[in-house]
Amino acid sequence: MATREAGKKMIMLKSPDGMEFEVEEAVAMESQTIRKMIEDDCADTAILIPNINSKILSRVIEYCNKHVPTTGATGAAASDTVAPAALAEDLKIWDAEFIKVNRATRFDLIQAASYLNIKGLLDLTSQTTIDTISDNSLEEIRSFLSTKNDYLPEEEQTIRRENQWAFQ
Amino acid sequence: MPRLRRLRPRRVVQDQDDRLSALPEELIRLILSRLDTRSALSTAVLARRWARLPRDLPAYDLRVGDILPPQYDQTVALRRRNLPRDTAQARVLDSLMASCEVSTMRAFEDGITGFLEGDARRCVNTLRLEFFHTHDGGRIVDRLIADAVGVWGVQDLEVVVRPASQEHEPWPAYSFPHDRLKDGHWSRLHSLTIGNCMLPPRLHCYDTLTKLVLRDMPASTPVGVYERALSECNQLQVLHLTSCSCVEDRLVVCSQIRELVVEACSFMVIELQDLPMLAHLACRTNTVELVFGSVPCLTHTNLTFFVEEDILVLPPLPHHHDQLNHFLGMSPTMGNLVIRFTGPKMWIGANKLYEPLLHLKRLLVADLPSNWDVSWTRTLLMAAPSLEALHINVAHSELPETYGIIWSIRSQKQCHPHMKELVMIGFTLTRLQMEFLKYIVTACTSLQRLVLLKDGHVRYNGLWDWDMVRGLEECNWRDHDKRRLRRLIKSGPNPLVELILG
Repeated sequence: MATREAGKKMIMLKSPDGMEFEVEEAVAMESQTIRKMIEDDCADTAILIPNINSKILSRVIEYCNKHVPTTGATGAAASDTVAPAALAEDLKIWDAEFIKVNRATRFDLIQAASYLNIKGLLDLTSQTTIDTISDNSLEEIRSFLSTKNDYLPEEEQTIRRENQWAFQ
Repeated sequence: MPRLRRLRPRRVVQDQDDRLSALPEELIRLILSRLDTRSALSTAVLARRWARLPRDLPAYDLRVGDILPPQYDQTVALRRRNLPRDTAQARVLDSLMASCEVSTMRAFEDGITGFLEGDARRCVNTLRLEFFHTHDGGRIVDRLIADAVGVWGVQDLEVVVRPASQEHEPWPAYSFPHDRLKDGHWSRLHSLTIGNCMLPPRLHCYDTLTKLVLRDMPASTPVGVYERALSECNQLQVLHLTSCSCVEDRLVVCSQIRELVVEACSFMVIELQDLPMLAHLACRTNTVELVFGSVPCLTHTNLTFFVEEDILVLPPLPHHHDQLNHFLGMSPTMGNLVIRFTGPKMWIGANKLYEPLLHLKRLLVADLPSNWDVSWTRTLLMAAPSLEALHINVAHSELPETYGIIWSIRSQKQCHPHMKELVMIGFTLTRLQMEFLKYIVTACTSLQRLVLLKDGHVRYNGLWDWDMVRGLEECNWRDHDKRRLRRLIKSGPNPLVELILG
């Protein structure tokens, strides 16, 4: 395994389009899926991550890179010293910038976050989606999702009746 | 090279733009579960593929408050302000409220009926209900509860009756539809919240119930109801009593529970008689006495009391709060303690605790009013020989500072050899604070860190754990003050204490 920077363990992540990303083990372990692989000792050289292209994978790594040191710092802070409020604020601002991507990328990120099991990223991406959906009328959501209403009128009536609570 | 398991092949979607629909269903559900129930349900009418998604949400919130018109709250506020001066106006407001409640409950029933009519399979874990018990609502709620627990698989149920206006005929209190649940369905519930309604008659049938929350129980509730809840639920681990009133003043608790939270209730005395498993205790109510019996496993405690009255005109004994011994007698075993004693005047005395807090390691004195003498906390320090971290959060008060406590010469010679850290938020270099600091640096012989913050707050992780958080603004310290503090540290037995200012 590659080792760099004062004994920090490095892990190679490969995307299906052939790109390779060398990341610190701690960063890769932000993903519970990868953490499990490392802990089960089946990740000694490199890990191929199918179905997540290099563009999305690099963004995911960027997210993990940003979030890894803070988790450590807050953990230590809780035990013996004063927690810095500023760091958490900074991270929120960074997250807000990070998620300013187009819809398609965001949905890819949701899938990647869910597959790699990165809770923070999944929370961020899905909450952003929710924020765009809520406060919109159904017609607006339909056009946002480019979904066509394929109900027959009587079917729609039944489904409306079932979910009457939403329309009170 | 090891590789991760392949993702399931994506659904082929004709319209590539509809990327959200292209996500696997469990992911869409996860996203929908972040929406409020009404918005999540409304997505069912988007398209056929969405029809069944809201049937399997982790939680349904069906609260009458979500569909009440906005003017209802205004009417309620007006009615509160008016009471009891103008009876004619009160009557008008009451009837306005009542008609609003009736029409909203009709809409509520209509909405609920939608779920009960169809034969759609539903899989829901948590159901939270809030309604007025004014109209036919009770009966439809009965049916819904029976279906939710029996068919949908609800394990976590909340049933709250919202107090209605005075206009209606007084209805008998809503009682939980125990008899509508079939045999065996009782044991499906793991968590039950009951608000302002009657407990089920035979609680021992709910033999998997681990968490019980009682809220807003009326003043006519006999203490037996609470005692029955404790004695009949064999598997109960957690009991919360919130805003509960009671005919009697004294609550005696004997149970196998691990967590007890009593908040804003009317009990004057709470006796923890026999709680062999209790680890977490929070008493945030204006109880005047907390009696510790056998509580051998207690590790975390939160005590919050607020006293409004003028301490110069105390009510007759035993109804006053001036002694810590009323709260911490009988040597409780906790390692973590949060104390939040507040009020316009300092009402707690500096009397010595009869029994030491032998295991106490972390102590937070939260929201200590700035007009109280901070050296009051020395009572706790003296009683806690193993204390390692003392965190104090001073809250600003407009009232003038009280005279300081006069400590005896003997108490000046105390030593706290295990104390390692003092963090004080809201530090303003007042005379009493400086005197307290002087005591700390002298008496805490192995003090390692002194953190003094002008600005900051406490961030709670639940009721029993916390972090002290530094404020966002950079605070300037005058060189003169810094020198004063350094001199103070140097005068103590351990001149190498790390001083952090902020």
